[in-house]
Amino acid sequence: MRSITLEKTNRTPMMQALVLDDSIRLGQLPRPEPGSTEALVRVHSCAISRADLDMIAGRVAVQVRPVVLGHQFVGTVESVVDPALERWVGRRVVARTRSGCGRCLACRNRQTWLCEAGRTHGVGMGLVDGAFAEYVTLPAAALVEVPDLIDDDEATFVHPLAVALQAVSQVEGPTPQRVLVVGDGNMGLLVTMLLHAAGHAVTVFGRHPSRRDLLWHSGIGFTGINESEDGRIEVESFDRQSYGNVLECSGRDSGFKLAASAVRPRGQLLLLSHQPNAHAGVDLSFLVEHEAMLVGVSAGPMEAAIEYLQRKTLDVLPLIASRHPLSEGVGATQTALRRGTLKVILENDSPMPPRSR
Amino acid sequence: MKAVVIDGEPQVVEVPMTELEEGMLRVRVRMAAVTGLDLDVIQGRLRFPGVPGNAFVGEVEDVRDDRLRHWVGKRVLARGSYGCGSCESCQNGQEHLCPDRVSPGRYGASGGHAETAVLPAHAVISVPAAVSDEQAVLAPILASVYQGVLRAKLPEWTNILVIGDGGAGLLASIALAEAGYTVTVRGKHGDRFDLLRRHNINFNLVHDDVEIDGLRPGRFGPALMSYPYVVEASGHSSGWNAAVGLVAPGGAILLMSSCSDAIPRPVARVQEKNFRVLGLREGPLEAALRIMEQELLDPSEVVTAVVDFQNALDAYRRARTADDWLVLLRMRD
Repeated sequence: MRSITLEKTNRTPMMQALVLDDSIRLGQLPRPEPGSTEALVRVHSCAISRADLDMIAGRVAVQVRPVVLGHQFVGTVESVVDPALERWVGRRVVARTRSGCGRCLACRNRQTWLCEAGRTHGVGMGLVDGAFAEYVTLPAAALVEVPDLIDDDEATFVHPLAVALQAVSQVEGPTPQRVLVVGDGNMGLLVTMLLHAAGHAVTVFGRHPSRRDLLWHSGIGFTGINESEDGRIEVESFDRQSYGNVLECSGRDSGFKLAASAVRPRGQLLLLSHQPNAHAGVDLSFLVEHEAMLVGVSAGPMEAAIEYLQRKTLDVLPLIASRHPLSEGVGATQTALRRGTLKVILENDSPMPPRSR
Repeated sequence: MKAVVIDGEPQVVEVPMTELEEGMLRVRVRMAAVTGLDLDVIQGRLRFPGVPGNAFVGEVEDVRDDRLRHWVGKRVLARGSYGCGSCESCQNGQEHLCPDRVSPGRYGASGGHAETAVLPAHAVISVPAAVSDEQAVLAPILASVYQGVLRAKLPEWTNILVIGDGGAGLLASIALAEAGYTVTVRGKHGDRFDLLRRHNINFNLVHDDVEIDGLRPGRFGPALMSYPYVVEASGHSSGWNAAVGLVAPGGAILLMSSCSDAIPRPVARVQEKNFRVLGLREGPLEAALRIMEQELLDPSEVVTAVVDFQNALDAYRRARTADDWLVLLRMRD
């Protein structure tokens, strides 16, 4: 485990990074040094994810402080220690947060995205420093090369797209069918676009009426929901127990309840959003009563996402709300925390250093 | 007739017989189970102001119309619920998912903790002669396990953990072990050990509510144990937490518990760990009865008490404690 040393020395080159301590702030950190199995990556840009925001806002515990967050990044491999890894140098890469422990059942089945060890140990997940910085080091096993056809902006979508594709692949029943998406944030819109592209008739329940136009152009139905002060939610129009597949992407208790009530007997509720509030517990009696299924989806194979992006069937760029230089990262997180903001991207604005060799 | 009525507290009282309407059968109850589902009603967690008893076997005594005359004298098992017969679910043969369904002893109609019960002909299934009353009343529990095997698409030879060593948990583990799976039961009662060993089932005795989440992969690498399939048959929130902690990433939890008490179950780990949760309620009774008819499985070894109906309240008390595994009510010899 690397720790952050804040003392400055003249020897180590420094770098700019967004540090989560008691709060989020911009700091100068020594540039990390790669270990024997690691690579040093110069970050091009890094998206602020929902997981980052949960940790910044304190909804999800961070394992060490201070720590640098950020895992949805794209960058170029700057250097490696092990000559066997030399082929990575100069490659444009993204990284798996779950590179796999190699020992658990999931890893042995080559489903490393299911490896539990990686979830908390991955780069930028609150334990090991991530990519809200100029440089990041990570295990070479976690690297995935990005083909030239995919630009930097698109590459920051590899993580959420992997999750969304995994969820869509688990939608059961005939195509086309009526599918309900609850939540109109990034993940909600992403799965909506994928489901629509797969031919399904999608309805989105969301709290941001501005999405109506965005979706209308693609012929996707949008239904507004309002939450009253006592936490009750009102939906414009709603068929209870009528959807074979419901995708919950809102991350709120009220959204989960709404999604659960929309699942028809023997249907399934796909849970894509992290439910930081749901540790207290929710009522799952609908699962038994209607013999329904709850499916958790938090990861998927990144190779599938890269291949999908390469086909250019989906334009993810409208989901980008704004781009900010890393030096204005604190303001960028404030923007991203505002309800209804789509993807916020931090760009490494520091000048390229001369290649030392 | 005598019947148990839930009016705040359960009591055995004399009630008028239900009138026999067209299409209905009057069943003289022979034997009824006291299941977890029934206890929800009996203990008032599920409000039902009538006669409890969802699983029961009896003999058809009387019918109203002649076309049902052939039922008279037949030994039948009540289905857990029956539907309207015309909606999509009913047309697909899934009457138990009908939005207007009736579950005797639970919702909409009186159950089998009485001398007689009145049911439509499509709500019963005739019991083969080779299957005893004791066996037949347990068919619904077996059937829901078989439904889980089918719906979760359990592969052969997989490892299954069953959480809960009450009647439902024991029956589920025996059914799965006899179907060829490697089964481990996690329970709190050591007296089940011999029974489980006879069926080659591993027993994982927990002394206290060990905080399973402490075992979850964290700093120390992957979990010590994980199972691709976990059957949650305890109905307690500690059972749910254990299931969530012990299911392998990408695996599945089969939720068998009666959920009518709506205990809160945290779901954050469902998403983090990418597993599925399947709710099981009712399964194919025909299959369960056939398996017992062919003597492939005898669930009655899980029964530890058969109590006369007059002492129904005593039976309920025994069903609530850990000393008895599964309690049945006998109405008449």
